[in-house]
Amino acid sequence: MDWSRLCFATAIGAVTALACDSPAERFKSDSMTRGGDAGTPGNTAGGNVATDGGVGHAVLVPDPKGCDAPRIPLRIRRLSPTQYDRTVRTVVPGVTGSPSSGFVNSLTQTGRFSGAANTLSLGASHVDQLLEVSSQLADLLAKSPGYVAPCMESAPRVDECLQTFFAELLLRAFRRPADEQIAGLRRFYDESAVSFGSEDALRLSVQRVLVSPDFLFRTELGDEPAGANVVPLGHYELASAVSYLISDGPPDAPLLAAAQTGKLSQQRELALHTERLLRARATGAGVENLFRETYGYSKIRGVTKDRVAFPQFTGELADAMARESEEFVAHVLWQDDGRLPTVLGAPYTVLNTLAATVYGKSAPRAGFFPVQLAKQRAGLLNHPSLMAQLATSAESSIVQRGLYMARQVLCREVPKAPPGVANAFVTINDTRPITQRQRLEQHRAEPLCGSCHDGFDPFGVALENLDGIGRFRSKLGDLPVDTAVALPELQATVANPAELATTLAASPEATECFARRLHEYTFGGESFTQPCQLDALSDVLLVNDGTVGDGVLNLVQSNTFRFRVNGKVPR
Amino acid sequence: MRQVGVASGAGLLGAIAAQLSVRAAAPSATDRCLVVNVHGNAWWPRLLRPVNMSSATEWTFAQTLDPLSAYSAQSSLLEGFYNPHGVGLHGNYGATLCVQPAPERTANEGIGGITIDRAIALGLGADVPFKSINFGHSYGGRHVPAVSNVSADGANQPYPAMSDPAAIIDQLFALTGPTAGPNAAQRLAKKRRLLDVMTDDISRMQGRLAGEERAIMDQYLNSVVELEQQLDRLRQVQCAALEYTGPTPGYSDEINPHQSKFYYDAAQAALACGLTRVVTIAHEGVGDEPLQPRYPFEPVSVPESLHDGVQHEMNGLKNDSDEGWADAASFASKVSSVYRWRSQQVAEFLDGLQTLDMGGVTVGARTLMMWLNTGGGRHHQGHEEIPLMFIGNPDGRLNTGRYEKLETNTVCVSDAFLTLAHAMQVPLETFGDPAHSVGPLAGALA
Repeated sequence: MDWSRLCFATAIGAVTALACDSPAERFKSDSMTRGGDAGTPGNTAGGNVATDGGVGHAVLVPDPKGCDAPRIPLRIRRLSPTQYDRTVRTVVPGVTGSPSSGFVNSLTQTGRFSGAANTLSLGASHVDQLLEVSSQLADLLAKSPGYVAPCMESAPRVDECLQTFFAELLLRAFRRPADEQIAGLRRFYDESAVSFGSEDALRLSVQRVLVSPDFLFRTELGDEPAGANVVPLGHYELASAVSYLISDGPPDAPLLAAAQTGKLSQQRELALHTERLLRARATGAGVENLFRETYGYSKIRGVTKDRVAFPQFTGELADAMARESEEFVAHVLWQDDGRLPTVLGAPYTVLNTLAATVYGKSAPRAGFFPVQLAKQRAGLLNHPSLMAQLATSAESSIVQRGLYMARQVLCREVPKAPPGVANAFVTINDTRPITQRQRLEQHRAEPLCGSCHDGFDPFGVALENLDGIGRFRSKLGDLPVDTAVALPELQATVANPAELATTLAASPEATECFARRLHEYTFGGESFTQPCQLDALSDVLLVNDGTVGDGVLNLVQSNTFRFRVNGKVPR
Repeated sequence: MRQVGVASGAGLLGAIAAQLSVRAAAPSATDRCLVVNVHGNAWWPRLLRPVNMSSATEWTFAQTLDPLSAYSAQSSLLEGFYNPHGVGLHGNYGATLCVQPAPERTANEGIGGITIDRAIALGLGADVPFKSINFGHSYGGRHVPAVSNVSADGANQPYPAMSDPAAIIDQLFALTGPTAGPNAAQRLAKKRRLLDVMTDDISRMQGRLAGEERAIMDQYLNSVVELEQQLDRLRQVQCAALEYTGPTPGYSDEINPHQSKFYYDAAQAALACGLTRVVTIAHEGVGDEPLQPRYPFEPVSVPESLHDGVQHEMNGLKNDSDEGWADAASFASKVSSVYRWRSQQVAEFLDGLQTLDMGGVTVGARTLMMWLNTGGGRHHQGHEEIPLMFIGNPDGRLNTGRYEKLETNTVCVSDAFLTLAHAMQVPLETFGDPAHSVGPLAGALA
C-alpha cells in the first residue's frame, strides 16, 4: 500500500471540505494552533515551564530521578535529502526519481545521521541547485494545481480558489497552517502576474514556497510563553517530530488532524499515533533508516572491488547485497519480533537470486525471501554488504572489521592509529605463507600496536571465514582459516562468524550502543544523551525483551522529546 | 570577445538594471586566468618523465606529452609531491586540492577545507559572475562525489562540479549573448524577483532564532545575496555560442570523450567572455565507474574503463607496483596512448585560448594551467608521488621549462599550490595543513 498517497488523498478530501468555505480562516480560530501551546508559566525544577492549562497543553511527566529533564534547546533541523523527497511528494504531483539528487552533491552530512544534519551547509552553489530543483518541481505542480486545490482545475483565477490553493500549498509544504504567510504569498503572485503572466506567477509562487526556510527546515521552537525556560513543542512541531522520526517523512492526515485539535500534546494521544506509525513498514521508514545509518550496510553501493580478485563483484551485486540487508532488517522489524537481538543474530537472511550467489545458494523464486543460513553465519553483522565494505579491494580486512565492531556496534572509543604505524605494519619481514591473522599477531607483538589492536582485532579474526565480498571460506590458499578467538570483555570465546554475531546480539554492550544511536537519531545529537535515560532505554530493548518500536515509543513520550529549553545550542 | 552592456529587456528588467550596484569589469590585458585540470588516479609519473634530459632545463617531452611540445618552454613538470591526507584506496580526491583530512568518519569522504582553486578564485574573481566554475563527469546519471566534487570553500562546504552539458549551456551560456534564448531576459528577471522575496522569508525565520541557529539563516541569506550579485554580473557578459553534439551523457554506462572535450570548450568560452577567471575540470573517475568507451583513436582500444579495465589488470600483474607494471609492454602502450590523447586535448584547449582576445592580448597569454593527478603514481595508495604540471606563465613569475623529481615524501603538494598562488599573484602565506606547508617551491618562482 502506498501510505503517503492514501494519507494525502484523505488530506485532500478533508481540506477540500474546509478550504472551500474559508481556507484562510480555517485554523485562525483554533486557539491551539496559535499561541494555544503557550499555557501558563509554572515552576518546576527546570525553571519556568509551560504546564497543563487544559486541552492542548503539554504536561511534564514527573521525573524523580532527573533522567528526563528537558534539555534540548530551541532549534531548527534541516530536512535530510530523503525527507525532502518525501515532503515534496505531498506537495507536487507526478514526482519521479529523487528530486534531491539535483542538489545532494553540494550538501555534506556532518553527523552520523542524515536526519540530524542541522549543520548542513547552505553555500551559494547549493542554494542555486535548490532553486533549480524547485523550478522543475514548480513546473510540475503548475501543470496539475488541482492536486493541491481541486478548484484550480476549473477556476484557477478566481480569487477564492487561489486563496484556497495558497493556504493548502503552505499547509502541505510547511506541515502546519501558515495563515500569516498567505497574504504575502498572494501579493507576490499578483505582482508577479503583472510582470510575467499568471502561469509564471503561479510557478514562481510555488518555487518561493519550496525554497522557504519553513519548507527546508522543521522547527523545534515551541510556542514560547514569555519568560518560560522550558517550552513545549507546538502541536504541529510535535506531529512533524514524530513523523520524521518514525516515517522519515512529513506528518500524515491523522497526525495533522490530531495537531489541529491540540490533542497531540496529550501523552496518550501521542503514544497512540506513535504506535500506529510503528505498526507497518509503510509508515516506518524512519526506523529502517535508523538501522541503515547506524550500521551503514547500504554504503556497499558505492564500493568497488579489484576485478582480478573478485570478478563477480558488480554494481548489480553490490545493490543486491544492500537490498539483502535492507529487506532483512525490514523483515525483522515488521514481520518477525522487531527486536534488536534478532537483527543482530537471526539464523536467517533475506535473499534474491543475485544476493544468493554469494551464499552459494539459489533463491526460491523472484523477489526477496527469507532463507535459513548455514550454521557458521547469523544476523546482520555477517552480511556480505558489511563484509565487502570492511575489506580492501582485493581481500578481507581483520582490522577494518574489528574496528567496525568495536566502534559502530559496541560504541567503544578506539584512538586513531599513530602516524607512520601503517608503514610499520607493511614492513614486517616474513617470507613464509602466512594468514592475515598471523601477520596481525606479529603486529600486535609490538607493544605500541598491541595496546590498541588487542581490543578490536579479535572481532575481525572471528569473521575471517567471510572473504572480501562475504563468501564463506575455510581455507586461505592452502592455509586453514582459524577463527576461534577469545573475547574477554564480552566473557566469550567464539569459533566462527555466527558465534560472534550471536554473542554480540546478546551483549548488553551492543544493546547500550544501539540505545545510544537510537537516542542520537531521535534527538539529533550526541550532546543530548543522558546516561540514565540510556540505561532505561537499554532495559526496554534487552532486559524487558522490548522491540525497537518500544524503544522509540519510550523516547517519544519523554519530556526530552516533547519540550525544549531556552538556551545556547550545543554543537 | 566579450561585450559589456546592459542586456536587452524592459519593464522590471530595466528597473533591476537601474539598481545594479555590482558591475562586471571588462576583461583586460592584466587579468589572470587559472585552469585546474584534474585527472583521476591514472597518471603514472614514469610515463610522463622527459626524455633526452641533460639537465633540469634541457629535455624533451616524453611521447605521452608530445602534443604539448609547443608549450614545453612555458611548462614546469614536477614529480614526487606527497599529500599527507590523500589516504584511501583510490586517493581521496577531496583531499587533493585542499590538503586537509576529510571531515567525515570514513577517511576518503568529503573535503576538509578550502581548495586551492577556490582560494585563488577568491583573489581573482571579485568582478566576474562566478569566482570559479567547475566541470566534472557524472556517471550513470549521478555524481560520484569523490570524483566530481574536488572543490570546496571549506570543510563541509563543497563547491560541486557541473556535469551535464545541456545544463551547463542552459545555466551559464543561454542567458546572455548570441546563445541566449528568447526568454533569457525574463528568466533572469524572474530569478532576481525570486531571490528578492527569499531574503524576506529567510529574514522572517532569522528573527525567531538566536546563536548558531541564526547563523544557519545568516549563511542562507548571504548565499542569496551572492546569487543576486552573480545574476547582476551575469547579465552584463555576452559569451560565444556553445553547443554540445556528443551523445547524451549521464544516462548510459559510458563516460564519453565528447564530454571532456565539451568541458574544455566551455572553459574556453567562459574565460573568454569573462564569466569567470578560474575553471576546474575533473576528468575520469573511480568507484563503480562504468565502462569507459573505446577511446577515439587507434590502435588503442581500451575495452573497459581505464580504472578497472587497465589499471586493475596491471595491478593484477605485479601487485600494484609502479616498477612492475611497466614491464608489461602492452599495458604500458595502452596507457601511454590514453595519456597522449589527453595531452592532445589539453594542447587543443591551450591552442584555442591563443586565438581568443582579452583586452588586446590573448586569453592564452594570460592563463596558467595546473594539471595534476589526484591519486599519485600508483593506482592504490599512491599519495606520496603526485605528479603535476604548470603550463603557461601569465606574469612571468614562474621559472619554466623545468623538470624536477622530488625526493619521495619530502615536499607536500601544498607547496606546489602555494607556488601556483604566488604565480597568480594571490600570495598566500600557507595552504592546507600548516604542518606540511612550508612555502613556495624552491627555485620555482622567478
